[in-house]
Amino acid sequence: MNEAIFFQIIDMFPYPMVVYSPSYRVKMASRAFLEVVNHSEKLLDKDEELFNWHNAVDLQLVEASRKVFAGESNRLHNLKDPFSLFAGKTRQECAKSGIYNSAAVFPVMNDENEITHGVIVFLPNTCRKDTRRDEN
Amino acid sequence: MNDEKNSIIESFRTMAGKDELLFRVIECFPYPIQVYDTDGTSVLVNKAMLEEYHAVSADMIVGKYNVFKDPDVISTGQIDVLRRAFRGETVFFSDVRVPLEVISRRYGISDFDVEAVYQDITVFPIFDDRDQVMYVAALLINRRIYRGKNEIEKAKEYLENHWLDKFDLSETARVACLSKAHFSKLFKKHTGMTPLDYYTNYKIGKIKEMLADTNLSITQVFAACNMDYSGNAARSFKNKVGVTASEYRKKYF
Repeated sequence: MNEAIFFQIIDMFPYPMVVYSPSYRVKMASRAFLEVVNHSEKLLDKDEELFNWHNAVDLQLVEASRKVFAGESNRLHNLKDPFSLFAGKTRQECAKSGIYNSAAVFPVMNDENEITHGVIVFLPNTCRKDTRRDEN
Repeated sequence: MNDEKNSIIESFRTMAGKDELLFRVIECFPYPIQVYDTDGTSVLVNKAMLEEYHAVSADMIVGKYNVFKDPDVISTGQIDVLRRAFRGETVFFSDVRVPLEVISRRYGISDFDVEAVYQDITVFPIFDDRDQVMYVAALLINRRIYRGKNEIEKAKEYLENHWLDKFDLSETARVACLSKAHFSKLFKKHTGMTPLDYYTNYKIGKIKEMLADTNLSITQVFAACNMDYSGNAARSFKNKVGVTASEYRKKYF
């Protein structure tokens, strides 16, 4: 039952989210992700590599999704076609993909601080900003 | 039911195997997540939530905080909207000002290094296997953060809160507690632009955001930003961005 609860938080997560292994197999995805890229859950069971590096439009997303395994977290904004990273899906092939132009990419670590997975969460562009005090 | 829920809280400390990954994803999530029981009591907070509130321990929130009893939540008049999430809907609150003073008092935090924070909050239900709402999760994403207490930060916050209104230099200077002339000079010194340019740039940023929604026509986007596309606004957009709104949409969306 515990697993079901945590699974539900990810499954019902309102934004597209994928959890992937160091071999770039998608291990888990929110329902919102599967809807946007028009994938069925069965595809995830096949343990196929869904990343399509060559067709990806946003190179900063490609870089960030690799750098998670070096421990880097990144928040990216103004992405042009983020879902093109997945099996070469174009924006036209993805439902409602246009509203997601930001992404948070972060590593998942175990108790020994080893990075076991990477996560990408796609978010609507919100012009997020951090207004710092001017030192002058 | 209560035993089952207690075991879920406990599971945060004891989880292993496949559950571990699910737990870790939530724990490592870079944005605060809080999960509530069906009566609104907090049952779970992730690491980002604790960091946001400066290392308040989970014990101070879990089992104690109830979102329906929070006077600041009640005072927003949005309780009915929030209740919809507890009835099974996903609800979204945009650009909510976080009551830092209240949080600071509640948890005895003295070292908040921010002046104001505005968050987008998405609240979504978690169902059990009979499709009944078992928990409700809230995802909090910082949209705007203001650090420092100086006059310029207050003015920026004011301009960004009133971007739909007509630009008002007198009122902005009043918020910053400065004369118009002194405020304009100081604002330019600190930001490199005039208050009007800052306001215009912010507004154009909003138009760019809304252009991503291709269900809206360009005219509707401008109208939603209180601007008339047939007037100076279109010219102003092109001057600032370098392309027309239509070209911008084609290029990026």
